[in-house]
Amino acid sequence: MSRYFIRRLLLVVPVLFGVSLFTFILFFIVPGDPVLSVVGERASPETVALIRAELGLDKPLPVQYATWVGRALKGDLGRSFLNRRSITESIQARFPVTLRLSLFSLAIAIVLGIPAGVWAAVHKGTWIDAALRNVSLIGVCTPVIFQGLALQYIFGVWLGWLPVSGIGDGSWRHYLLPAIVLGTNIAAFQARLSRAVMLEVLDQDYIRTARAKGLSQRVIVYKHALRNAMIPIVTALGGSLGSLLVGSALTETIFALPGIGSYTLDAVFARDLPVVMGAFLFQAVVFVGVNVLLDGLYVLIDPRVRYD
Amino acid sequence: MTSGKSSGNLVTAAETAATGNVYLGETQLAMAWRRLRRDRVAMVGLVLVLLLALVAVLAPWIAPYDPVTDYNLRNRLQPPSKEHWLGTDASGRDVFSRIVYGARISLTVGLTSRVVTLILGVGLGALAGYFAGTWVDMLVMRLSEIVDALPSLFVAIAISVAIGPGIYTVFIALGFVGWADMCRLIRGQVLTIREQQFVEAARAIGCSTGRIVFRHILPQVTAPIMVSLTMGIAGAIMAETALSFLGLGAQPPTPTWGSMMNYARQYIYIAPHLVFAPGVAILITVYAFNLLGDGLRDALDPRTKT
Repeated sequence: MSRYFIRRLLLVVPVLFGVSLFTFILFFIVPGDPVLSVVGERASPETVALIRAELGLDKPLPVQYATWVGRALKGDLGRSFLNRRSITESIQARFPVTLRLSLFSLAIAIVLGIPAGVWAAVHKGTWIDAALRNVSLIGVCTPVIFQGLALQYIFGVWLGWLPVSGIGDGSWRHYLLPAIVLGTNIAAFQARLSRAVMLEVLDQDYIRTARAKGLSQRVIVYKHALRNAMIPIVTALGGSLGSLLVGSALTETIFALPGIGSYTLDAVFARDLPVVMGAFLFQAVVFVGVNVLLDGLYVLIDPRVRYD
Repeated sequence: MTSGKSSGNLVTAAETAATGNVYLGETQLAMAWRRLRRDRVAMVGLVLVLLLALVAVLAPWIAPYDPVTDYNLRNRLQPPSKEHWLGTDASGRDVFSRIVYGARISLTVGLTSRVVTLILGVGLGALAGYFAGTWVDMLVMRLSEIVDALPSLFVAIAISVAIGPGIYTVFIALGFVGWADMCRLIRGQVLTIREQQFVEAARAIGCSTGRIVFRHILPQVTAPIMVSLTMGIAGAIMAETALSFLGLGAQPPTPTWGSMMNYARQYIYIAPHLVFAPGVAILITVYAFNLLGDGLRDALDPRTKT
């Protein structure tokens, strides 16, 4: 077990190395000088040279890359080209926003998605199933941009119940609309998955045995079937959490929330190279980390899973 | 088909292996098509997809106005009316016409980026599957893990920024993002298929590796490829919207549904129809491809017997 995890963690290293190399290369093939895009075209050659030396951009690329990786390993992701703020500190300040939004969205997804899927599976072929399937398919097909703007209009502008955008005092009201956008999207996906998995489980022999024993429908569905259906459901939820935690760039941008997603997106547009590299690396670490943790979680929910 | 009439049995077997399972593939597809036709929901999806394709092709004849040049600043931000079915935008252009032309971009991007994905994913996946356990497999799988370790939208955005915005950038960025899933899918399928006897037979009669992979193994995985392709088009259309929304897609004045929503944002207080029109257009398109994809999956699944 522990040996498996050590091996799993070791496999993470080349992936993270690849991610860092990928971002590094990507932004050095960008046409145009990163320094010029920051200080402007009119800066004198002396100024540009000075800044270049200060940022370490005059050194050969492999040296720059090695320096960067070395610092990153110590938790120092460098400073922004634009405003000289520490990237590590910015991420520390912004991650809680993304974390709150993620957990809020995930809660909405769990409360709506799994019961809807189970309900549809139990009532397979009835109008309940048809209605739930259609609603969830529409949910999957709605682009977050459209849903975000539509909710902003309906609840923010038209009804005036909730703030249109921004973080304000940081109360839950500012998180509600973006969380609904992300949450319902994941819920729709969860409902479709839960339904498919439940149908497969309900078709198995041990369920027929349970029926033959005269157990109530309730016990069969919730005690016997759902427990076995949980593994793929939890896997998918974990995947969703992974992508939520790395920030939902579009949703955060539309609702002007200062999270990791909008941070990265702004930096990409401003060609703030150190921020982009730092943010990408952070996101990859979180994403891969969540997945490794999930592998551990399987052992807890499914005693059949053994890693040796 | 085998042409074993003139020759002996041995040659027939060899020729069967050499020509691949073309005949078998056709019957499978015919069976799938029969099942698909019976699936009413999937047929709704298919009809919708064909309609959308027709709208995109016939855009100049369907759109009542030119989407770019017919602007009228005195007639801007009008709500839907008899002259302008979906109202006018901030430059006084007809929104309905722009939606109709936008279908061209969305469908082209959906299709083209998936072709890029298909080539990369199937090629690399087949390679990794056939050479499973070797360094080739190792390299391809690590590459796909790296692509997967980053949120796909960010990678697409980073690529778009790196090579400059535009419609071709969207093809490349979205194609590059999607290949990892396809690659793993194909690799898994190839892994199981290459252990089967007909592959061994093909190898025994001296087929080259390339021939075994492309003529013998790949035709067996058409079903998952087709499902993934259809579903992927829906995903690519959504992603294109996101890139256009961020200003990284086809550049103005080309009408795209994503950029229309982007410009509509600032007028959301006075002209909400500008947001809803492209939004609903995307919704319907993605919905149609998903209906079709769901139906295809059921129809192509060999476990569903009819």
